[in-house]
Amino acid sequence: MLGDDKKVLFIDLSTEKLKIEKRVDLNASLGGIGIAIKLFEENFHPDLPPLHETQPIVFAVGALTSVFPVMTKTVAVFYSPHTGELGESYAGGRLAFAMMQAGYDAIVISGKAKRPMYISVRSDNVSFRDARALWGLPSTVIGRVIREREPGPGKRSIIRIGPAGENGVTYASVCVDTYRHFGRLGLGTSMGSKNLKAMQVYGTTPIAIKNFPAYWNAYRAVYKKCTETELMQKYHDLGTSINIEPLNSLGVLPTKNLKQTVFEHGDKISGEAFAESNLIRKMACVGCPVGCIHIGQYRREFDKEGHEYESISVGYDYELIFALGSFLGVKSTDEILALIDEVEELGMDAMSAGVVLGWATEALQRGLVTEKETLVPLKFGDKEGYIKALGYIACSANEFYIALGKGVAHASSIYGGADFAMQIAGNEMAGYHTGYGALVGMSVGARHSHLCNGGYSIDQGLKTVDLDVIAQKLFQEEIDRCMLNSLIMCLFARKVYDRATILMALDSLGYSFTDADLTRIAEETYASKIRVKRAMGFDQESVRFPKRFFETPSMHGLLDEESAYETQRKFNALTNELLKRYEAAPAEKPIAETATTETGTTETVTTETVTTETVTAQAAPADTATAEKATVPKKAAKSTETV
Amino acid sequence: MFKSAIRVRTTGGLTSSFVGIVCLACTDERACAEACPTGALRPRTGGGVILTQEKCIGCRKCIDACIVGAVNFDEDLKVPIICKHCGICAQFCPHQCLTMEEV
Repeated sequence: MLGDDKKVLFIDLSTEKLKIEKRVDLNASLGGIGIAIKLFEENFHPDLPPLHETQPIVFAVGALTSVFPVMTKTVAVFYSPHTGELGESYAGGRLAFAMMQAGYDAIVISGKAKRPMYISVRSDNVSFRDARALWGLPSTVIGRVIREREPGPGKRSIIRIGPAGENGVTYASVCVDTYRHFGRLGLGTSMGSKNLKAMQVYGTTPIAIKNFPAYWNAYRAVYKKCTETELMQKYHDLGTSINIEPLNSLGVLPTKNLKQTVFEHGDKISGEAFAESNLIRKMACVGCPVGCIHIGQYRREFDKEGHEYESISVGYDYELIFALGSFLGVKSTDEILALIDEVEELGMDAMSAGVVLGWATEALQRGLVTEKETLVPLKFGDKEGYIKALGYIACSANEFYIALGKGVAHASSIYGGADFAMQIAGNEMAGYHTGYGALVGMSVGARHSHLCNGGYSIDQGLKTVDLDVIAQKLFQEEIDRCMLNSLIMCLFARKVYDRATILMALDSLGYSFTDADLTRIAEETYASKIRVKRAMGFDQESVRFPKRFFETPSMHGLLDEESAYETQRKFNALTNELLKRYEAAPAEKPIAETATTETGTTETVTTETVTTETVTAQAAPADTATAEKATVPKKAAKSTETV
Repeated sequence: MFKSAIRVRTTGGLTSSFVGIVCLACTDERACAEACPTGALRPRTGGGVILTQEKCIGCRKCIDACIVGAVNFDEDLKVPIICKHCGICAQFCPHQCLTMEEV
């Protein structure tokens, strides 16, 4: 941690064994996605299915995690059961802080527990706990049960899955500390397939700052930028939901399965509307002075006889309001909060869930399916039907809902209607129909997220449409964010952290990175991602866009199908060029390959040295904690990396 | 964080309230100082106490004595962590949850 060698914890759920590696070779990669993708590349099996028990889940924190403002994210890299290729997802909350306090830069989980289990990770031990009775329960209950059983109140992180992750819904999410999530691409499904219901992380390792005055000055400067300028103000004020109003006015808010981009009831679900009727609290991830988490409250009647009500608190954000609001024609803040709460309880990605239901509604309207399949009369604007349908997806109610649980690409391949199945490369669309930037951006983005390259933002900055410029900007942003995600910052702070600020922050902690290093790290990380994707069989140029994208006007008018494919090809050419550069000089850019034998000895094949330590796990009473007992001589770590 | 005199935590999950536990700067009677067997805690002008590290034997009696739980223990140095009322925490609170007041 913090300038020391990277420390990686390997957990094998099948054998309940641990292994710890000090990885000098990873130091040059900053952290975050930079090290997570390398660890994933070393440990995944491209020839085996995404949910095979040997496939790893990698969690990592970054070089500036928690010690600088807004460095709040943990990355998870896994084999996505949803798209069948690279799974990469980010969550805030307390996880990054807790991992750092536990002393780990990365945690690699593989294998499959023999029975439902949760694990408790601490700096001095990992415990494997029985979770059979927790199977089937919603994430809210899991949080409470683990809170009551494990040490570390008020400081720890508890991540957990809901029923959707247990039942193979391929877009199951992981709830992180009640209000944040690893939302997209099915990390919850991966955890569920490993019989892993939850993980708690807790530690008390002090953070050593070597040069305190330098750190103090750097921290203060960044803190001021975050709190005293307008760079991040909107995120605290109304939060991300502030965007509903302007994006609806601009005509880019996907509405009713993207049949339209202006929602006639937009004003009723705007950030202002939520603030006026429902907002009760704002919160922050650990280490964030901004606090963008907005909690809304609504009243739910739980018994029709005798006026039985309860108040429910739900976190809301722009993407959720789009997916479960405008996209489904739902027009009140209370109803949207009820849908968000349902998705939360079941543990699925709200964006995919909303887009899936949008397609199902139109498929029913057009007669591709009947009420025999849908079980309820799905109708735009009808919250009650959607609440029931979400439950049917999570519990695999019938063949139709099993298909919906695998996403719109899959469902439309069975029932038809691919032209209005709003997915890109297998991932359901995000809340922006701004133009080629958003559309192609999601296709070429390594994880098919609007956050890979911010295409929606590029569209909004364009005066005229130039496909070369769009491809170039998307590419630049895609690469740059690989570096930002190695620190790991919340991308809301990307305007606060320019290159000079990042270098100042790193320097104050004793890291010696240069501007050129940051570029190298970004490019290497991207190249690594693309290698992984291609090994999984991904072919960029075979991605097809559903017709609906070209039938509903964007802010740049109707999009032309051929131009979208052309932009995709242009981007792919830039990727190939970069990949060639990084494949051309393998001697200078070695990929660490460690051959690890069963007893835990580690050999290095490249110039970097990897040190493996054994873990002393103190088996707690009634615990099944075990650890690698083999004694391995501690090798002196020496790095020949030239940076 | 485990070395700071202020503790910010939840009271039972993130749906509960947050609390900031910090020295209340008692003035007339200071339970922590009264409990100290070696006189390592002396009254601070304006409230609270000042620790004389050389006199402290790390008995933790001040921790038990503080009814609001505002005295923490430094496990490395084996001395209590006593709030100096320097106001740094308030400087880094962007939302006026923590403020400094003249006494």
